[in-house]
Amino acid sequence: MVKIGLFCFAGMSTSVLLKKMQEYAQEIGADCTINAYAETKAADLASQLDVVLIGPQIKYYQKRIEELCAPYGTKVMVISNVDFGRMDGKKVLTDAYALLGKTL
Amino acid sequence: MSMKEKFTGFVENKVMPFVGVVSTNKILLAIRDGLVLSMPVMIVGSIAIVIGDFPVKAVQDFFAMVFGENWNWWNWDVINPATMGLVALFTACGVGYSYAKSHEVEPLPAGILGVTAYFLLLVQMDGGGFAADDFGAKGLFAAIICGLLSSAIYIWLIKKNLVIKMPDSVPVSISRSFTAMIPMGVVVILFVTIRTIFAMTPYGSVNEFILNVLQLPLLGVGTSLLGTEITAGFFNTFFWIFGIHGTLVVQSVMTPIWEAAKYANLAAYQSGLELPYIVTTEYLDHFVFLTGSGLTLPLCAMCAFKSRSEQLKKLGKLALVPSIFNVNEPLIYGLPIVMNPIMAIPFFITPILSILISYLAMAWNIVGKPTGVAVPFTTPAPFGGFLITGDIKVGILQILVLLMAAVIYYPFFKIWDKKCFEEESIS
Repeated sequence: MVKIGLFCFAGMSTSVLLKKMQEYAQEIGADCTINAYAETKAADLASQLDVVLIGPQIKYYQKRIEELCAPYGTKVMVISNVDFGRMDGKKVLTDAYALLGKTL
Repeated sequence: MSMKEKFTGFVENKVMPFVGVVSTNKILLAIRDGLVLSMPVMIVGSIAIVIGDFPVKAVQDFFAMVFGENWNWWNWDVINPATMGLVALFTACGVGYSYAKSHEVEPLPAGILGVTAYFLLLVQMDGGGFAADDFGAKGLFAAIICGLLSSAIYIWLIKKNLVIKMPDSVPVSISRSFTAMIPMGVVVILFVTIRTIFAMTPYGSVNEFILNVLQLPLLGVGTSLLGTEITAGFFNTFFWIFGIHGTLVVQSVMTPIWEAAKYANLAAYQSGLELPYIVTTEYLDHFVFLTGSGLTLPLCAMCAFKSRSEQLKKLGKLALVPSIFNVNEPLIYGLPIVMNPIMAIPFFITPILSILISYLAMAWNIVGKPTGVAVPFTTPAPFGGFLITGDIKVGILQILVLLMAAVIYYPFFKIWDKKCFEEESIS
């Protein structure tokens, strides 16, 4: 089971991308949970997630979130402007798995 | 290196690190998170006000007829003092809590300490007892400072290990309750000293000093037309164009001012006085960040229904519903507006004009000002405008501002649509 968290302001703006990712995960039967959270929740959730994805609009949080995640080995990635703009759930989910050294 | 590369380089190397420092500053974050902590209570309190003091007189008359003259007894005298009326206490607690949490020490004692610190500075009325308005809007900045200062002392002492330690056989929950004792003692002594010093000044109390020297002047500048154009108008848009959450960056600095203005308005509204401020958190949510930064709903609708480009049409439809509820990141990144010199022009102009028009309309009393009730930022127009002011004309003003946005965006939409359409026809 792979646990993925999407972080953005208030967890709202990534909701469309979240839906696309969940749809794709279901389509291919990937064993994962994907949820969106407010950026302020990062400290609480760093230990519970496998991958933390950061919305491009708060990419300046990257360093801080990486610091929070490092002790737990949680992987961190900033979603690119283009993938976020296209709401490309497939690409983002594939990239997230690649971070863990897995393929979909 | 071309001009564009130079500029992008400047933003990546100079602006981004600066934004990183401001937006991840633990003090600013603690203030913002501390204020956000009381948001649910404030919104519930606001709903009570909207119902109990319903902006349409006919509805009020109807309730009075059905439930009796005194039908809304629960509003100003019961629910309001327990919710909005305690905002300074919630803030002292919330800020202290958030600051301790970001330093990874047990946060709850810090929250309690914040409230104690705030009370230590309050001057009792003649004959004893605290004035109820000391717990509300008036003390917001003092509460923030008390929360931060007491929490900082608590964190410092704990990190220095200046705490009472229990033997290992004592249960954790009990030994933990002793941990906060020394910091608590230090805070009490320090704040009583501060109180005594300020009692000798013409201000009489720390709270009066902070109110007059810090809160009121900062609110005056921060909520002025020019101040708003610079912060919410210019900087917000500027950051967004480079793909950074401008609203979050600006809010991390401006939230205390916009929130204090909101609660000051509410206090005036309750007393039936003239509302002192125009620019509050709610004003910004419903006139500047309306349908998302840049007031992009008309642009989104054009993409969905008027574009020849398939890609824009798809995007417009995808982004339409979030846009109505004031979230427009899909559009900002999808169109994209980020790093797009063509769309940057209307994206810049529209909010600046929206602020100018709505500010003047309120300043000249053509429409009502925000009453200070808290409404979620996702409330769509025209309901948002109506609820925050209790004036139906403000809802209409929101629609007019959006129509203006449509006029500004249209020529740029045409250019962009043509470009996207041509690219699609080639490939």
